[in-house]
Amino acid sequence: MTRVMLVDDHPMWLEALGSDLEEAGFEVVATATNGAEVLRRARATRPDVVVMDLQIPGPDGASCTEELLRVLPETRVLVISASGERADVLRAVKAGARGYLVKSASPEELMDGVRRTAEGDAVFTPGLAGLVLGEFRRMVSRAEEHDDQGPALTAREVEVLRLVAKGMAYREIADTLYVSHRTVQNHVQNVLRKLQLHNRVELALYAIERGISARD
Amino acid sequence: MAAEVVEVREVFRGYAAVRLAAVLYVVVVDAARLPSAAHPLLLGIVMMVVVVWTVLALWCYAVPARRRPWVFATDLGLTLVLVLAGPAVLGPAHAGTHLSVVALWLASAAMALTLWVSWVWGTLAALLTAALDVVASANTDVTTWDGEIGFVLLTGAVGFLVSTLRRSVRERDTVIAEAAAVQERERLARVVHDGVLQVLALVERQAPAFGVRGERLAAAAQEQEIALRRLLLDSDRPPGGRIDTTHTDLAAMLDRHSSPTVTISTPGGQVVVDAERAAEVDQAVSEVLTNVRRHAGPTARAWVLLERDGDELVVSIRDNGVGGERDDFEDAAERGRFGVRHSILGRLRDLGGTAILRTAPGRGVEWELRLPEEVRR
Repeated sequence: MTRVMLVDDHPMWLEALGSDLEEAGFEVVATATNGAEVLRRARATRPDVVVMDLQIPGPDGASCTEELLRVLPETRVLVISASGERADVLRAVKAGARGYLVKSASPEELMDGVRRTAEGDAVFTPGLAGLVLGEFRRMVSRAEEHDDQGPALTAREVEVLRLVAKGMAYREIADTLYVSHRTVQNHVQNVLRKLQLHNRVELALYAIERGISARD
Repeated sequence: MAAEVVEVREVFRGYAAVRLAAVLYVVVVDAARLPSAAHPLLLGIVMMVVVVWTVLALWCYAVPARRRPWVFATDLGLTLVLVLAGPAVLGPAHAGTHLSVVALWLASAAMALTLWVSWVWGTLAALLTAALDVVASANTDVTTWDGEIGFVLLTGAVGFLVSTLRRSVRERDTVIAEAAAVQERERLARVVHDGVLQVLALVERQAPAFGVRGERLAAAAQEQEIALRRLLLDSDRPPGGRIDTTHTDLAAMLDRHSSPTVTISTPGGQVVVDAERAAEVDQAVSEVLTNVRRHAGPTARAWVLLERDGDELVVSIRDNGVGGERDDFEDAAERGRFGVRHSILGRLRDLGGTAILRTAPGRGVEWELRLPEEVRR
């Protein structure tokens, strides 16, 4: 049975989502209402999936995701947020979250999102796809400015991402491109992996630069 | 007495320095005049009074709470008494001198008034002091009044400058306080908005269980939720997209089209575009979406994707409605369902861009609008 941890500062939400998940056959092993509790309880219960609200009393959801995946890299984080502020969503996904849903998604969508996250699938909304696409374009143009090797998406990955952003389900994308459902999933996962990898490289470079300048 | 709102510490420090220098001058001058004075003992007492009172007065002036009316009154009164008594103490040997027994120190009391009460009071006190000084020394030669007149003008001018300085400091403080208040309001608004969104989402989620009325409630909650979320999506985006008179954030502008049936996807942050071009693009998107509402079928949803591809802007609008034969769009050019085609092609051509239409029966309609980011001349 998939072990789920819920992070949200609204008790009503924890209760509603928790009972939906239990009914759908998940085991809710822990809940947390603020950033400080997240790490402690995740370490104690080692959930498979953490459903993370972004707006929680500090440290916020994006920072928690970062910290959680540093300590428990096997955990899969699904981000949900009410306001969906783009900068926060992007930060959480770069930090390693496997997917993102808006809180007002239907209970079915949410259950499906948790299930797919548990299976290792990347859960993208059209909004997130647009955001990630923009982020790659930004990174590529910045890499060109510095004349170095930027993180590049293959033409196929861009194509898939654009179709997700235009509201197509993976099944429809598979039909449109004459590939299998699994192939579409792989493309989306690869995009996410590249984004997260590049984020880690950037962080490492940043640390090295800081280290060098500190010695000067 | 005028209420002191702004305390500028530097004003007191400057005043104290000047007044102490003036005391030093009194001591030096009067010590030199001591042997020839009519009443050396009284002159010694005058010097002592000046020194002791200066220390006491500065102690009072140092803190706003100690600047009581009696301090100013005593300061001015004592100055006037010393100025009046001066000629008698110095005696006939110094009858021709224009330097009073307290020398430049006589300006101190009027200066205190001008700094901490008002420049009007300060100037009046300076006038009184200067007049008594002239009278006491029986100085009838107008050409030698320059010292007194300079002192009166200087007192007024300093008072005026300090009040201007205070006003600008006060205004600066107000601006800083307002900025902090705005920030705090924004932070609180976010907390409140987030709470409201949570509840709306919960209503959307739970209400349908209560039957038809519950479903209506859920639909209303969804509309409000989307409207509020649209406001909050990017805190750094100007609402409605307007940045200045010539530029608009196209992403924020397109965000306004989001609704329960329309999803808007944009890159993060601003997509700054020439305001007129942005308005044209926005208008084209509006037309396409209106067409979707009218003709794509009651359950159709639409997705708008904004991308910046190199120097090009790409706006894709897709719906999952009934679609149609591409030929239909060619034939029914001027009216009804497909009249939009000409309007959109025309707009994009004017912007130096292209518009591509893809459709098939049962497979929805997709528009791809491409235009150069900058105006090409």
